[in-house]
Amino acid sequence: MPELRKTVVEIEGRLHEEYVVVDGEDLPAWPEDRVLSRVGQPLPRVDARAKVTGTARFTHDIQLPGMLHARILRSPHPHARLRRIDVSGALAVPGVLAVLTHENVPELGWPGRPLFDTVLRYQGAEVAAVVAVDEAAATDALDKISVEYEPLPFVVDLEAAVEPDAPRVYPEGNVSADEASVYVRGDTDQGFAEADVVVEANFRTAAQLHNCFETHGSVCSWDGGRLTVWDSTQHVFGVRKTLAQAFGLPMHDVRVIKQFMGGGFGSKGGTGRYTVIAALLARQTGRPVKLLLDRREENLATGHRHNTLQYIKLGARSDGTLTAIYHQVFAGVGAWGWVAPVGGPARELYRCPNVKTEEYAVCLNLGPDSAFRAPGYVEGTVALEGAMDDLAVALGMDPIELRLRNYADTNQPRNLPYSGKGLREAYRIGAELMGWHLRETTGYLPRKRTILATLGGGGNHSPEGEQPPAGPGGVEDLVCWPGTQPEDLPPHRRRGLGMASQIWGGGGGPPAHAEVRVNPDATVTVATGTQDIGTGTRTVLAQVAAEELSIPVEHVRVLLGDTEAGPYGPISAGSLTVASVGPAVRAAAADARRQLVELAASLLDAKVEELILKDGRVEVAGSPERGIALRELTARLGNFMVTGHGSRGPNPEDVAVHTFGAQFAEVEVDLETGAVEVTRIVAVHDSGRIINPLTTSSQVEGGVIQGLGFALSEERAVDPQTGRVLSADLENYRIPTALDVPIIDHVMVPGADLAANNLGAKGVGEPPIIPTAAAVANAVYDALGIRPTDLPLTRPRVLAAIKRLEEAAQAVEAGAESGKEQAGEGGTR
Amino acid sequence: MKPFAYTAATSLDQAQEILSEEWGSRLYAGGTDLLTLTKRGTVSPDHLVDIKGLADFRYLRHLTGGGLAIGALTTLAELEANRTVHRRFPALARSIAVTGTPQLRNRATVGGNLCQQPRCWYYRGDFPCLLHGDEVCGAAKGENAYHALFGYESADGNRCVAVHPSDPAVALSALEAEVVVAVPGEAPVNWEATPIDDLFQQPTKDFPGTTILNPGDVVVEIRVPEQPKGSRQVYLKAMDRAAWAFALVSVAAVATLDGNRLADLRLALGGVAYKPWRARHAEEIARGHVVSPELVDEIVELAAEGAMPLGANEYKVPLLKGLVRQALRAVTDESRGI
Ligand SMILES: Cc1cc2nc3c(=O)[nH]c(=O)nc-3n(C[C@H](O)[C@H](O)[C@H](O)COP(=O)(O)OP(=O)(O)OC[C@H]3O[C@@H](n4cnc5c(N)ncnc54)[C@H](O)[C@@H]3O)c2cc1C
Repeated sequence: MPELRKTVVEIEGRLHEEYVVVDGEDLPAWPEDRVLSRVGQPLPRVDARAKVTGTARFTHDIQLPGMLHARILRSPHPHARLRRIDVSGALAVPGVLAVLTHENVPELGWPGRPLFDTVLRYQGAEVAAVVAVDEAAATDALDKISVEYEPLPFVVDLEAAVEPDAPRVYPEGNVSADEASVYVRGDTDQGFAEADVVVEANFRTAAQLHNCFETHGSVCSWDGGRLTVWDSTQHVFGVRKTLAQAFGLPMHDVRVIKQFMGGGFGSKGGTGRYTVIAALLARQTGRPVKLLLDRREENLATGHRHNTLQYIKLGARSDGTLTAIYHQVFAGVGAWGWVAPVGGPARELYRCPNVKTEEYAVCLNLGPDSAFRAPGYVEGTVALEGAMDDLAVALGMDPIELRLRNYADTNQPRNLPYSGKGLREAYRIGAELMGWHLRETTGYLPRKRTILATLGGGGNHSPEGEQPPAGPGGVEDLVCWPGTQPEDLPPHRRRGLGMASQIWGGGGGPPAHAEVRVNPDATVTVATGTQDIGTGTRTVLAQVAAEELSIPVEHVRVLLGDTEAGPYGPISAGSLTVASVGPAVRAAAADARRQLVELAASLLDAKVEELILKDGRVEVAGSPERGIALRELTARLGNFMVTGHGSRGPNPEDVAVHTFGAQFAEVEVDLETGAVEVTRIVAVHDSGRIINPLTTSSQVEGGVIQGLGFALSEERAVDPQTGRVLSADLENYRIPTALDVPIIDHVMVPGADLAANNLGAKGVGEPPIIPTAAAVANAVYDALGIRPTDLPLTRPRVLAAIKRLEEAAQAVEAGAESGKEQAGEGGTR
Repeated sequence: MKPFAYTAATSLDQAQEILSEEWGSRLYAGGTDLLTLTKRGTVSPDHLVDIKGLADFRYLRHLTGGGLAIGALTTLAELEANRTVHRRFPALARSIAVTGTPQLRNRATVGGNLCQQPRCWYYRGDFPCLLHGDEVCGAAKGENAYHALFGYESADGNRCVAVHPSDPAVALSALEAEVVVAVPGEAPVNWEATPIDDLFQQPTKDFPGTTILNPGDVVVEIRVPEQPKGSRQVYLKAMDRAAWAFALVSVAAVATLDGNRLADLRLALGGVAYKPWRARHAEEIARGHVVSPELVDEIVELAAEGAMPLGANEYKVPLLKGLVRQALRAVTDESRGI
């Protein structure tokens, strides 16, 4: 019986309490020692052949009879008022059927901002849309639209935007203290007063662009009053809901399809303005419309990981016990958007009674931000784990020892124990694989560093009224004397080891539903309304159903990515698909299994309790001769499908479900050229039971590589004079190439999280990107003796750090000549 | 994209005739640069004259007295795969191996590589740029981390501060290569060879090309002279990532050692000027001297002599010095790697 339950669900690092419908009692998780034969196998993807041979149809591949093509005219200005628009030139282009602007766009129930605004707050804001018989005509017509803009003052620099006299994106100002997300636990003033050692640091991270292979886009088609949309989305049901609202349609008259995904990474979680525009143009012309964004639009207007300016301060006793954490974040969200939980790691990762985090959204005249694979936690981990290494240096403690000293067994914000936490194990395995002990004995930095010099910085940044010592500058940089280096290295190269920890949700939750249909030939169809964002959802769900029904994985076909194919499935985000939809599929398979066994019982004249379903047979336990092959059983039922229903049970109330992990990085820094070469990454993560080690390793490698891009090369560049994006292509926005990928060794901490859900599995999509950049930055710190504060670590930044190192060394030399005391005594802590 | 006419030239004469007579016509070789510029609307040719089919200009020939003649339509991949290039001109081989990607090198011609337009993001985007006909150079006071250290004369915005993007050009400069240019109406016997460095010009508002060539002029051959016996060569390129990126700074070094004496040294720098920048003063100082740490320091300092950072490209000075140091190490000390 369906019932309504209240449960806590975590999505992208934020908690939500929700009412959800669940079906009956959940199954217990497969016990730890249960031998599973389908789950846990490194199976290649069930749709690999379709992808490799090109039969897998992505949104871009959709071709419909009579289909038109639309393109969007976008603002060339970062901030402007639209004075006048004349589309007659565009309408005169042969092949053009219609042009939409703010003047003629029909009234919609669309909950978002106006599709075409008259104040344009970023380069790339929608000005008009053209639909034509082909893409070339639509593109040519864009040039023929004449627009009069009144340019307005703009701000594109995060540090400039927080100044009180900065140009304003909105009249109310760029930083809203009211909308800040502030968290307080205990009393940080007291905590810092109790500390023997206090370290503080500023960090800057750059805006990271998703640059999915498959750009954003939709194909919309109306059939009478019904709308069908092939959309590049992470959430078919979400898009269905918004479109139904926008067009005032009954939900069953909107169908959204996403069969194969060329990447989303968080940027395709909502309903695109382009989707609504395409649907409007399709309705207006009575023909299907395809609207795909190009690479440039992708870089201007489809979201990004916000850039940050972070100030962090840690207090600890001399034994390393944390007494206080203060973390302040300014996030450049763009023209609008959200601040991801950058303070999440500071709130949760370490045991600390006194914590305060503040997260401020700063508006800029740049495209709106969006979620990006572990939003906030990637940025926040850079700051927290960088400061932890500072603290380790200040205390003369091994970084892992310091982390273990502050190991948290409970989720402190929720005051709940963790359902499972394999972080200690991850540290141990990772340290062993990386050879962490070498850091102490054979040449990396000595445990106790001599602090050579402190270098001052510039001014502070804070929102109006607030006075914390935030922003770059104002904080002293420490320069440490490097230890002896390994002998195999030439003198101009330095090697370093660094590590960082990962905490994230990934426990999933309801609502998620599935149906398992057993066909007359005993093949099985799993239907659910989730979608495969590209992580291998089809494969993993097939394994789960096959396990529960004890049939070969090849006998299972998974239908998803279609609001008409299966019951509700959640958004593919927050690493929640396996942990949410997987248990629902298992429950549905168990329901089908129950029915099959009941049917077999009447055929075999046996009691249900006596029967087992194993390897494609239902038989009486202990007397296999009294049994029937599943295939025979289903054939006897005629052309009938046994249909099992299942849903994800509520989350446990007495524990908090999280994923953990640690990554270790080995780098070499060339002191002459500033080149940072990551030579090896060791990634160890705990995500509970692993359904498919092969798809998991793809996630870990992909996460690490994307993390390396964030650490080393990916950065949106904006021209300060025009406020336009300079890097709106893949030449100037630099994602890593195959040659940039180091050796990546990865291990999943063994064990299932039995309290989490009926699979004992948690997500693996986001965790692997979280600690990579922090580990790399800490390794560079280890190599250079000066902590990188600004990411990515491009040549200008690394060479500047090296220059400061040289200056410090010169200062010490000069000091040494005029008497030794200074460097020796004053500099050592 | 504006519609354009297309002619697959069947002879050099035919191509030159169209190119010198039709305003708006453009020579088209591999198209890897021209086509991307056209698609972006940075250039809008009316007529593309495709010379790829002129097989006569796609060759590698040994010159009498040593050296190599390279037909301008030879692809970078063909050059890269050539054994003579590998053995006798390793700096050139290396500079090609780090150019773009394999797909690109399969298509790109060596002539087109020398004549490509700057990669400056102001030029290639919708930004103020002298080469678009605007009054000022946007990069001079903007995001100029990838721009010039030398040769631009003034950062007042009246001069283009872009750098020449070619890697092979830097190696060819250090190898003292010459280019043969076919001028319309001239008989092949009158085609002249000029030093490669003289091919380039600082692009200007009125003449936005990277070379001195007039419409109809075609680079037909590149001649790489035989290098002194025992000469050692290296090409080092600093990039923002491991591949598929233009040089932040690059260095080609060709050294001839007589024992531990530097009989001759040629140093060409890439990514720092509108052309391969020869560190002539450093070369002179080096000539005839015994390799010593002091000499290396001096060469390194002199290589950066006269550098005029623009603001965001300050880092190129230490980078250049570091690369020159590593290049010297590579060409003077066999026992040690770079
Ligand atoms: C993604 C990418 C990465 C790249 N990375 C690198 C790199 O790392 N290093 C590097 O050096 N280059 C790099 N390039 C540039 C590439 O090498 C050039 O685009 C290519 O060499 C140009 O040759 P082409 O034959 O395709 O020239 P085209 O595009 O056909 O022509 C380029 C220009 O030269 C003119 N031209 C061509 N041939 C002649 C001739 N014989 N005489 C006179 N004029 C001529 C044309 O009119 C045109 O103006 C990269 C390019 C791309 C697209």
